[in-house]
Amino acid sequence: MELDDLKRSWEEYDRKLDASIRLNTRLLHGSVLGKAETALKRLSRLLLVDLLLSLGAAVWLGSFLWEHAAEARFLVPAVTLHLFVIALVIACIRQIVSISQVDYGAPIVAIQKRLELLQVERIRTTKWTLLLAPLVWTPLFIVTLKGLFGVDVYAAFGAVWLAANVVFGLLVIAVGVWISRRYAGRMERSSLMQRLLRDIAGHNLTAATAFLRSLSQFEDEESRAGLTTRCT
Amino acid sequence: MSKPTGQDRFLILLDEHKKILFKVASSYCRNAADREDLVQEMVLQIWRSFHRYDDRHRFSTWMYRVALNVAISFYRSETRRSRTTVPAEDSILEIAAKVPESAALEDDLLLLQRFIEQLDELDRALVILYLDGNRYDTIAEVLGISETNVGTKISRIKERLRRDWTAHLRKEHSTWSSMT
Repeated sequence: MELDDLKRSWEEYDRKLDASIRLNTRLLHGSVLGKAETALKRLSRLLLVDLLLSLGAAVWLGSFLWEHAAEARFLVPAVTLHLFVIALVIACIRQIVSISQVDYGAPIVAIQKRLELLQVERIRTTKWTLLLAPLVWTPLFIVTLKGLFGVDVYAAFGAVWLAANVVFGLLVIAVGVWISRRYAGRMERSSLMQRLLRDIAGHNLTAATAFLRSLSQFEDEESRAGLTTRCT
Repeated sequence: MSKPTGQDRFLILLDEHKKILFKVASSYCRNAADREDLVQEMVLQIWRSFHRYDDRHRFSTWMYRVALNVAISFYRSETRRSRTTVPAEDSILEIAAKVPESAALEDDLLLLQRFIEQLDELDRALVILYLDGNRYDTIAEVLGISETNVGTKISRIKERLRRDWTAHLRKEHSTWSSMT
């Protein structure tokens, strides 16, 4: 059996398809072209919401920093949070810019590379946000209570309680990594949970980098083939 | 007579090339619900990107690019099973109950489908373009690789099919021999 034999069958099938496929223009006119969003557009909208929330948090933290610049016990947690939020803002902007540059009408290898790099960026952002969240909890608690309710957490709960929280945060990270590695493949009922666990465990990153590698190989096969021929 | 709007022109072009949607979707999704989702995603992306289409180039080449890019992303997406945006009773591509085929053609198409399913997402795109009768320079343009590279890959895929077919025949022969 040769590929060209199958090609003839494909051509015959193609001719028969002409008579059997019809485009549902009523559906296209009625809803699909008007309202629906592409997967990338949906992602872009979610990122925009993320960006607005992060920018709001950055502005609020900026004013908190200004008010408590002379008090190291509030300044340090606020700066930590501010850096975390700024990193999120940068990650969001980078992803939104990358999405806006995706042109599906461009050559496949180039677009798939761009999309996979975008995926790598998303995985890294999710992974580090989820991993660092338990550590950010303590400064967030200190800053929120002071900024919104005027409560001094150091005086109300004591330094030992706060140190215990940091240690607990570290434990949560370790347990989170263990759970993600153990259960990433078993959460078939919830695709979101499975995706998050696979992000933390690094499985999605491994898959994305493997696909990037196969894209490069697909692109370079000619030179590799030439090299093999020369070597043999 | 009124001038056709952008959407009208889009629908005319889409109708002329609707078989591309069907063939790409069938090659990347076995499940019918996934296939419908993929067709919708492809149509939407083609529509959203339509303002970027330069009509000095062939529409089919541009459409292959968009459709295959969407199909590869869809194929790689882990969340595709949770997404159902089109009601099950309504489809963008309406297909007659059964395309009339001879038994031999049906066998060949089944064989071809099995072969395509064994290929990775990039080789699959290459084979679809080749089977659809595109020239090497068009395939190279759609994929973004050189013509020589297209030739090398097609030879490799042909060789693989030949090898798989020989192995399949040997296996069938040995099964038949053990039965008799």
